[in-house]
Amino acid sequence: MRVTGRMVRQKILNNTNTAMERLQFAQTQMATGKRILKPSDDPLSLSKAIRARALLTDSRQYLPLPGALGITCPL
Amino acid sequence: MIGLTAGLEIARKALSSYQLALSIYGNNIANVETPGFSRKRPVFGEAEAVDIPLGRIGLGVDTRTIERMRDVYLDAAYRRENTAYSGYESLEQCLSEVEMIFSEPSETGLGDVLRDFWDAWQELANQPESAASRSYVVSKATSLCTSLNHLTSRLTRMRENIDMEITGTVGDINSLAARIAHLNARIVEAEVSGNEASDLRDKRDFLIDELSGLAKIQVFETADGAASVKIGSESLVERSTAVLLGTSVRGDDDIVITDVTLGAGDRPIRITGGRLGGLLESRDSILPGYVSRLDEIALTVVEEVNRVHRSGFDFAGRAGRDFFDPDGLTAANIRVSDALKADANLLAASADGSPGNGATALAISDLRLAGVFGPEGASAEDYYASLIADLGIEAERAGDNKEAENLLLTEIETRRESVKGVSIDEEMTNLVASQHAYQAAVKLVTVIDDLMETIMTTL
Repeated sequence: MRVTGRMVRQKILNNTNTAMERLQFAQTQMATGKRILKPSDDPLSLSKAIRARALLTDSRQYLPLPGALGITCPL
Repeated sequence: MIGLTAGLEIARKALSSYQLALSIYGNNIANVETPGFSRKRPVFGEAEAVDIPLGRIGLGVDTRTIERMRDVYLDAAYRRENTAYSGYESLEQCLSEVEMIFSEPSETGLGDVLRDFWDAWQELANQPESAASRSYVVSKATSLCTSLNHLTSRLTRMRENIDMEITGTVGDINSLAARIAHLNARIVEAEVSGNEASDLRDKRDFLIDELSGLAKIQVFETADGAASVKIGSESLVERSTAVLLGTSVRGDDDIVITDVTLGAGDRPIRITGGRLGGLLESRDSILPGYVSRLDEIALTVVEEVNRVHRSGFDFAGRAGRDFFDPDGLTAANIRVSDALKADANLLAASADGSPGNGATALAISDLRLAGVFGPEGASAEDYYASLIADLGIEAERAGDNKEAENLLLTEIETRRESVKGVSIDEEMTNLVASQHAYQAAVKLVTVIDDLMETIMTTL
């Protein structure tokens, strides 16, 4: 294949850009401490997380009660 | 034998051919960074030979034509993929903005607001006599309403912005169509002589490439060199005339929607693919889809909470009234009834009229799990979780499609560049080769000159 200067430059630029995108994503994950930054990163896990969070607060509602009865709960 | 003057003629032809070649290579080098430029090369051919007793002898070189390096198949493939890529790109842009609006996962998204709302009712069920629990319910309900109102208004504003972008894109398409039509006229005129109008064709191809990113188009070239462009099934450019697109405005859900029409007519035309196709899909199906799912949440919350609330009794033992304003049945206008906002004692937490009873509040809190949300009867959390999952999946798919198209487009562009792109190394080599050929032709002239002088002076 004929290779021109522009082809070479474009290839380098594309590859660098892909790497930079990945790096930026990883840095944002590190900085926020979150694996999922937006729903499209992992839609199924996120919907599980939303359900789990709901379940968690729902369960916490019952916590003061055993406390009042003198039973300690590890949560 | 052919005479010495014929030799001079050979040298003259060579000189003019290589001079032309040098300016073609020079022009290639000069345009190495020009977008849309295709490299040109001279096509040499041997001049018609003459008969001599020993056979035929050539009379030098002719430049047959100037070839414009281009692959029509790759151009068509590039445009096809560019249309697909730009369409996915605009869908992805829209969906990632919707993701930003919903701002999940976070502690400020609608998911947490909804959860706080149900939790507040449960809290009230535990302590039905507490004034703090009562105002807490009202305040969390108000946050839920504000959150739904805010989300909807942001989605609606986004629809309005996309509508403006659609108008702008129609303008871009029209400007490109007009320029293509103008170039058609010039190309047909220039090519009457039979020579290719290569610079004008480069410009036209560049404009058509650009147009292919805006909408799905079909391009046909007529025998005399004009390009006709079709958008959808309608003709956009026919020879030197461009049938421009128009817009007509109609109202829809309190916002203004612009339809794309052909010419000044009112009949909307169907446009798919490209940026315009993506924008139209975002405005007409994606955004209204999410608004209607928020409406579903709002409607269910209002109807169900009001229904149970009316069955209870307030702090003073009077029958419960509507908790949410019964006129606000969409996400855009859901609100807590003014009476309850003014007096939290009107909250009907009790099922039997005694202030210490929290059974109605508990029943309302249980609505979250009752499976009353959406056509499939999901719980509140499941309905919201699947809304976010659907948004994520849709955005992920648009992103993946865009990425895949991008790879394909880059590959095609690389192959196209391989045909039409200027390689400096190659041009330099051509330059040196032409230079030597030119110098040799000059030498031929001096040799013949010497011979002629010999004849003149010694004979």
